[in-house]
Amino acid sequence: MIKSIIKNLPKWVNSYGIEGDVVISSRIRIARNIDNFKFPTKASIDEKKLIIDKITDTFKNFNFISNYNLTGYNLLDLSDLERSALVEMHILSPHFIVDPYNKYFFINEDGDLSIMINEEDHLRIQYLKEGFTINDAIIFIYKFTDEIEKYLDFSYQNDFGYITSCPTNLGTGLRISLLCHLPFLSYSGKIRELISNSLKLSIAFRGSFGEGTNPVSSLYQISNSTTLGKSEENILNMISKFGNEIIRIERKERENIMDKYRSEILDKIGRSVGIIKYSKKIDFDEANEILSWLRIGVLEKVLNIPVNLINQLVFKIRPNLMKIEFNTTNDEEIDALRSNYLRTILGGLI
Amino acid sequence: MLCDICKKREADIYITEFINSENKTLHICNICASKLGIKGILKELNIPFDENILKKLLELMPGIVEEEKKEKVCPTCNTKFVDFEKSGFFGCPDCYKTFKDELRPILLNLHGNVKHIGKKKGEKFTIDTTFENEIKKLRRELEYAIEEERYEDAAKIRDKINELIKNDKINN
Repeated sequence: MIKSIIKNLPKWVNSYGIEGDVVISSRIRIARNIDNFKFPTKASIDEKKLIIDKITDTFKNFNFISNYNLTGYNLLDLSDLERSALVEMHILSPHFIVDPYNKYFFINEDGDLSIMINEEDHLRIQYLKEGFTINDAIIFIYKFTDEIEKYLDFSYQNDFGYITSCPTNLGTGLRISLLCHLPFLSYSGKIRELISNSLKLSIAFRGSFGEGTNPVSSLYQISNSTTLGKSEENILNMISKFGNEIIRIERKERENIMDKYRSEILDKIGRSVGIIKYSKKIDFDEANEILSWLRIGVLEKVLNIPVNLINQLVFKIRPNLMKIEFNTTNDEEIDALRSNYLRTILGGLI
Repeated sequence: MLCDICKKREADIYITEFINSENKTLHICNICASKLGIKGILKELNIPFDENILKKLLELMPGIVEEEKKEKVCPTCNTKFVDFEKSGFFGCPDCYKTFKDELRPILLNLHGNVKHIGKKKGEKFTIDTTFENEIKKLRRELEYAIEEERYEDAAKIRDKINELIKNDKINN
């Protein structure tokens, strides 16, 4: 099943959700640890194995596997490439695959629910959905997590709430993040002001690729930076409010900029189409920038490409997913393959 | 005055302890103070281990507190505070009990808060937006704010509660 998810990408990647012009996908993650066990960062090999057994037994014995269509994998049974591809899809974390020993994960059939065992914490439960759908997503993930809590003794202290190996996740252990496409706020430079204001609101704002504040793709990850001293509902409301505000101002900025600089924007879109048609090599950064312009072209109705196809390509062009698509490990040929791939997929549409 | 311990460096700290109208002064340099730590200094002064004295000394000598803090070890997993400072990770749930005091400024810095107010273990997560629940949650937040001496926050929360109650009366 995992091979098919990696090859065909999960449903949430191939879809276009609510407010999808700005919010590409929503992700909710909950961290939990089992009481009286050392955290994975400190535990011995035997202890880590015991944790895996304890959790997998619970999942089997209490029908989580059948009820949620889960399949479990030992991380070592996957190739290096498959592991990295799952990181590119945000299904596994970069930290999780650094040392693949004594790590295990579950994933459901749709590829939107995943559970990492022995990441920083014993359990990292994650749910991903297309568009701006955090309300439904949070209800689903807590239903799942609260059910597990009946069978596993989670570490909890009255003052500190749910205990995590790193104090940054302490309390609720809850992280809600939105993957946003903000090309117009980036274009006008207003994004900088937004980022500095978000710091005061306990919101972390970062470029989706690397740590830069102005990624070429205009993709940004927005998430709550605090987990303690706020209820789960407070965190949800905070992200919900901030997300709605971002959607409003990005759309307004789009209107302003398209009004004033329409020909410049159309020129950028046209040039991106030209690169896809005639280039011989496209590196990862350039592909991201091109897809960002194509998405604008679609929103402005100057291009007729399904938006969900662009969402899919945002993931598909990533280096390890490209290698899997073309069954190669050769880094040098990736840029040429990427150029060819984009031309094949989009050729008939541009 | 030379340091009573190394007898080489100039003393930086003078500690005088009065016991039954007699007093004993220890002159000590920063380096020896750091090496000895609080317990070592008390031993030098021949004072029985007393938590109150320890607390007073802790307040007076932040440099030494640092040393003591770093030496503290979690009895369950042997993680030292200095290990946490290096890696950012604790070793086990008991570390949070062992390093409770040291954690306070770190949590304030990270979260602006030191106390969990979210769902309790065993409770089910619900999104409850009824008036009673909102008031209940705000009152809980108010209690914590007062407890933590965040009076500005407390005033804001109090105003919010009053506003909700006023609106509820108008609506009914």
